[in-house]
Amino acid sequence: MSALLLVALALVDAALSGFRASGGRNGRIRRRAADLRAARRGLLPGVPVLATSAAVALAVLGAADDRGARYAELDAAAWRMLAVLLPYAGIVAVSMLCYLAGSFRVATFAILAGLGPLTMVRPLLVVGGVVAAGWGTSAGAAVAATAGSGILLVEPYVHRRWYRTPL
Amino acid sequence: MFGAGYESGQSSAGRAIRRVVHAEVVDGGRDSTLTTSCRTATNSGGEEVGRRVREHAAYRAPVSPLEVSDLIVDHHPGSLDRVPVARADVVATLRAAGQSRGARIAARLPVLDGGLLDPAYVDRRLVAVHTELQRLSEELRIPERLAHLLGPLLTAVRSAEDAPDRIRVVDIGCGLGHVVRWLAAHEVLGPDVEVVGADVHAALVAEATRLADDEGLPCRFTRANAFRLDETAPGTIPTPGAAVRAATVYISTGLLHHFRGPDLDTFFAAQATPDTVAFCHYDIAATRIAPFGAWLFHRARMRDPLGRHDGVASARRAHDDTTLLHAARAARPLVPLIHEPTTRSNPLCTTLRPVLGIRPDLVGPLRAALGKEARRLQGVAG
Ligand SMILES: C[S@@+](CC[C@H](N)C(=O)[O-])C[C@H]1O[C@@H](n2cnc3c(N)ncnc32)[C@H](O)[C@@H]1O
Repeated sequence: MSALLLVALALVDAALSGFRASGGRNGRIRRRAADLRAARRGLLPGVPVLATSAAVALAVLGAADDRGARYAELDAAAWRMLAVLLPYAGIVAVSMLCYLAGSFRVATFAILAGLGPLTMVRPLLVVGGVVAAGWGTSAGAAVAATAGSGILLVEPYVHRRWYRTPL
Repeated sequence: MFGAGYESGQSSAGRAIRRVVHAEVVDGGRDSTLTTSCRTATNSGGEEVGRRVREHAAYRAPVSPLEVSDLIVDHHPGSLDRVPVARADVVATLRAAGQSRGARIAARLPVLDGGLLDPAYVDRRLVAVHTELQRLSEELRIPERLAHLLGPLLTAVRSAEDAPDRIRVVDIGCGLGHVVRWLAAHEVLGPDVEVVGADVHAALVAEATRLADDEGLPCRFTRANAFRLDETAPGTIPTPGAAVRAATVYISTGLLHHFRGPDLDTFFAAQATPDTVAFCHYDIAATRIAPFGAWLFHRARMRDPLGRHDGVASARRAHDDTTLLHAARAARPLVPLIHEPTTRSNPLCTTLRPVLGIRPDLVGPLRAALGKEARRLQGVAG
């Protein structure tokens, strides 16, 4: 369950990272297709990041003498990471809902008090999640650090790969 | 951008053209304006100017920061020909104003022979910065906000006895024309309304045109000097100056803070043409949190250091409501009004608010068309 939640969070984050990477590069007005393409481009590196993290998890699991205990250790680490990331994701979701469904005044509020600052603190949150997950467990730390650093690299990668200059 | 302005706009007409940079300074506790001739049309004298700025700045602290993008592009006010800009002048001006970060950004811009900024590079960079800027305008839903007010404004215009058959809305300082293209794409103003974007900078006008053509939008773009709307400017379409001159309604977003002192009055005065029934200029609300908000938002959403620098500078340059209302009186007989005055709106919900001007006989119809929103209107008397 914890792993599924983290995978879901990571995929949504990767898609949004792709979208953000394309931001400020396409001046057209009707951009739905381009925005969806950007989100898909975020998933492209997002999936290998997840696969690598899963591979690290399997490796530390395989290397353990007591696999049951190691599994429980990793599961506990995943929940600690979720304890940091889920509230953040919840606030982002509410802000996005207000932004998309509200009037332009509500939308402005959602951007200024919500989505803008939330984007700024996202790297800190990811680092916080990694630290929480890795607290007292080197196995958990290895998996969380792989996933965390990978997810932070999605946006710069997509930006460099596809959105260096205005389209 | 650009709009640190020409020397009092039209007042320099017919004389040698000088671009001036206004750096507000505190002088004995009172604000005064240090007017510095930054460069001439031939770009001579730049060194001397840089020295003069430094001398003044040595004993006066700047209170209103300069925008790098205002300094790196220059045009002849009449012909709109590009005037070469020396990088050393820009760097010296920014240093003299105490803006070392801005000076470092300028110092990294590439130059051609003779230390002149490479205009092709500057154009590319500013197009990129404006594309990032459009993202902010999209997120803050600026075009939608403007359309929300422009709708009732045009209803009032149509109610006039002498209402024109076709209404022309001209966006001055349109940049990449995001507002114009949005209005054209969403067709919110009605079939009798033509939308035109005007900007002094050829590269931005060309990019706006390219983007509009790419999407087949019913709008067009032209070059014009905001201070000389009554003149025919050479440009990209036939008699573009005429198109700008015949505006029924002038609009703008994010332009007013570029103009200060007499330039601001001249800007408004230029819109008091016989054809003009109203104007609606949105600019950054000068709230306490505006500079911090601008820093945070530009940091989160823009990548180019030049755009980030200018974004914060523009929030610090924002005019308060009173200044705008008083300056807008220069467009007499149009009656100046502020919608969503800073003192009466939530700064987290209103980042840009407009100063309006409307023919006296249409103030009543405007209030009627606005309905409950009319509560948010404020005139000179409050
Ligand atoms: C901050 S940008 C705003 C662009 C656009 N309106 C927006 O909201 O994104 C200011 C624009 O005003 C233009 N500008 C500055 N001074 C001008 C003048 N005297 N006449 C016409 N355009 C001017 C600049 O070239 C620039 O594109």
